[in-house]
Amino acid sequence: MTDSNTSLSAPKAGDALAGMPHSEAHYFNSYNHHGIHEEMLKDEVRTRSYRDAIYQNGHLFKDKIVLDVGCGTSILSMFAVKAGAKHVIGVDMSSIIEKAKEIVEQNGMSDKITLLQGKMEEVVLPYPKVDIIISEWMGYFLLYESMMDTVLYARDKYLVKDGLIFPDKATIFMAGIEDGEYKDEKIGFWDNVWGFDYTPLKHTALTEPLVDTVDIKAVVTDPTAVITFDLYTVTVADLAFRVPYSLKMRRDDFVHAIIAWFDIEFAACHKPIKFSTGPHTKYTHWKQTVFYLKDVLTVEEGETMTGELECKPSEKNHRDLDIAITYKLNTEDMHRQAAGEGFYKMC
Amino acid sequence: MAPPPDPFLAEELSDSEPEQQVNLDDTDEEGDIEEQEALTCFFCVDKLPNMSEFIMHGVNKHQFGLVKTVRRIGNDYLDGVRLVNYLRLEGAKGNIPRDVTREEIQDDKYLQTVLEDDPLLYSLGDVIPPEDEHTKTEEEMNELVEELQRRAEEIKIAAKNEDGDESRRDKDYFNSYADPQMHKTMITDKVRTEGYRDFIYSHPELFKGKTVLDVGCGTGILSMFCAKAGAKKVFSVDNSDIVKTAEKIVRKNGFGNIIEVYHGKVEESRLASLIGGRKVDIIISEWMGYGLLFEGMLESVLNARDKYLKPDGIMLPTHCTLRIAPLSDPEFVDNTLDKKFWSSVYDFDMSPMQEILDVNDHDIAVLTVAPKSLAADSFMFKELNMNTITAAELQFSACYRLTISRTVSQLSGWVIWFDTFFVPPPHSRDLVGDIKAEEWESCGRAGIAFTTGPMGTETHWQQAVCLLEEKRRGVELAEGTEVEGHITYKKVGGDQRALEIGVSWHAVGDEGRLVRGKQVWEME
Repeated sequence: MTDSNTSLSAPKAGDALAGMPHSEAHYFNSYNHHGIHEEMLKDEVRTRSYRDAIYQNGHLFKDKIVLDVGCGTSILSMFAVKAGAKHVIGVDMSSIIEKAKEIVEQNGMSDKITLLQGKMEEVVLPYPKVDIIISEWMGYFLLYESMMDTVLYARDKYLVKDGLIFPDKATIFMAGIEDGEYKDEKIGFWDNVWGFDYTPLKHTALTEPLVDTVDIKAVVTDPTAVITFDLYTVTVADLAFRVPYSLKMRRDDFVHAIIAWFDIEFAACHKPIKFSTGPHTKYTHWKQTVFYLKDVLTVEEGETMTGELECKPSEKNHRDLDIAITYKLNTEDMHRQAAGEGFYKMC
Repeated sequence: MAPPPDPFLAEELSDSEPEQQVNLDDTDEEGDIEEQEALTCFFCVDKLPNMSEFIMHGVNKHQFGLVKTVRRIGNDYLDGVRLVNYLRLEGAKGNIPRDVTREEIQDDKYLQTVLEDDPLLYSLGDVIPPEDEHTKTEEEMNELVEELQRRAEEIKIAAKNEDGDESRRDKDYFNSYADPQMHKTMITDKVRTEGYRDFIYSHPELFKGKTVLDVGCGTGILSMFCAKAGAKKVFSVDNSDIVKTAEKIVRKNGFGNIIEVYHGKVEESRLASLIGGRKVDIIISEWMGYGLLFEGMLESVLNARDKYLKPDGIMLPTHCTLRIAPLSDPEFVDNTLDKKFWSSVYDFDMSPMQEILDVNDHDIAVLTVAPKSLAADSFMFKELNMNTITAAELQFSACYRLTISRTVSQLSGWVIWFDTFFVPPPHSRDLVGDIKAEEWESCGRAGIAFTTGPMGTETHWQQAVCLLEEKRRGVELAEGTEVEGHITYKKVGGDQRALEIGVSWHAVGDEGRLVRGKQVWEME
């Protein structure tokens, strides 16, 4: 996600704010909205994956016209030039593009990269069609403040038939976690604040998904893929969806929350390159998204919890996401049976 | 719970629909528990499980007849909504309007929901008598709901326009305070919250029977401290949406009769009528920003002081002092600026990025500095006596003089922080002077003080760090060198919430003018 108009920014690794939930870090950094670029560049999983996908496929980039959607600091554009592209067009709404121009100049690529500030829908490209679209458009929970719709617009308007998209596949995963201690700290905090009852804020806290790193040891269920977006065929309408899921318990434990993350694939590569933002692998700045359940499920190994994940842009504010998760623990033990629905808002 | 025999009650109950009276377990035949949200009483914090209990509670506890009232008002849906909101507003003020008329509630401001997601608004149909035996069709209901939403929206817009054009910056500013996590950050800042609490709880004599104005009340924590300490009335003002929550919290904790929450700016004239044209005994506020004055909330507090504080009233906190110390720690600066990273990002030179990073050498950075990174004891360069300071004095130039306490290879920058004081009468208007917050108690002074400096426990304010541009840094300073200069605080542009800090420095008796410089930093 390179659009620096995003309202979320998070701390750079290593400073005093690291490890704070993103919303608090946002507060601390809100007087400067460029922090996100630093965080993204320092996200090695992200940047290396793009670099490898581009560098290892010089044969695909050689002499091609490339469009970098939401180019930010232009790092992907420079990767593409190095891989042999004939010309790269970078487009971004943000004033970061001024910095990008200096950077491109500094690296002697001004004749190979054209940087345009503006909306994808409004800018005039120096080429009528492009051979390859590269973009790092993903937001928290894949879709929160994501630029996927802009990429799709660029695809439909500019990509040649049989053109390539980097990356071209994104899959959302879910799993159940045991998180008693943190849930208590996060949600239970409002029960007693300096001797006062603050429960009116508890409701809000429950409806706000938390972007945070989850310890793999907390994961109680097998992960499950719930939806895959193929960037060549997906439409904006597909970004509002309702899909079933089923999670199988790995052990006897409790489930306090459902978490979600996504995997990204560059399938156009000679040898496909993938990366995951899940709890089982290296840290990325997307972390995982935690949805607390109203109930605590007492689960036994082999049992399943099933339900549906619904996600759609909020009617009030198109940039916000309305998310609903239904859940039901399937067990013979009637004392442990539980079912419910949680409503969440990412805004 | 058997209600006592009461003729008034009997009349009230006979008026309501019998089939709605007692269905306490709300269980249908399938055994599914129907989810019904509890109804909060208009006049106290009690919650009732259903409409019939709600009506009975009103009669028994408050001698208020809802059914009678609704019959008097008529069967218009919007009137019903207005009535509910009107009763909630009056209830919050401690009033029980027993003979409200339709005319009294015609103001469309009563279409603005007082209690968020008030289930009572959806249960009204249970009380409102049907219109000529004709039940509204779903379509008609939808139309009404739409009209309600449209009108509520119009009111919101009208309310905004009333205060003139709110700048986008202002909106962003107030919106940022609607996020609960941010309030958690502030509430859990122990130094901050305990400072206020300890002073209030240890001086109940100042609060007993007094009126208090809380400017920028947020979730209402300071207001509740004051109420608990015995305040007669607390007016809590905030322009952020968080006040809706503050209202709920206040009621939940049983302070609905003492604390009046006001959603708006403290400058608005409507507030004067709420306060009743009188003045208050105490103004309390947590207005301090980064570098003390970033965000410019103090002007609003001073404005409130001049308008609402009694001549002998108390401002809390009573004082703030600003301190400066030189920073000398090349390693800290290197790690913070991270030059190495930017000079080769995946083999590209991205050094132009450094100018726009969160931490750089021309903007004020918010960082935590270790005491060992300082090169001298701090100097107090500005005292804000809250009783007398004026808005004009918030832009100023002040002198400082420091003695370098250890020989250092470079001057890396300047660290600025503030101390906050709560001094009880009779000294609440005296100058605090050079005394540090962390030494306040050991000096035997009355009241509470806390520091946001490197020597104290970390607060969410951290410190304001002004890093020198590289070309100005390379100066060796020997232990014992005296350094002096000026500090300026200025607002930049038309933006009242942005801050500019300038520092000049030179070594005393430095004939060769080796140690000499000045720089300006911004925070926007």
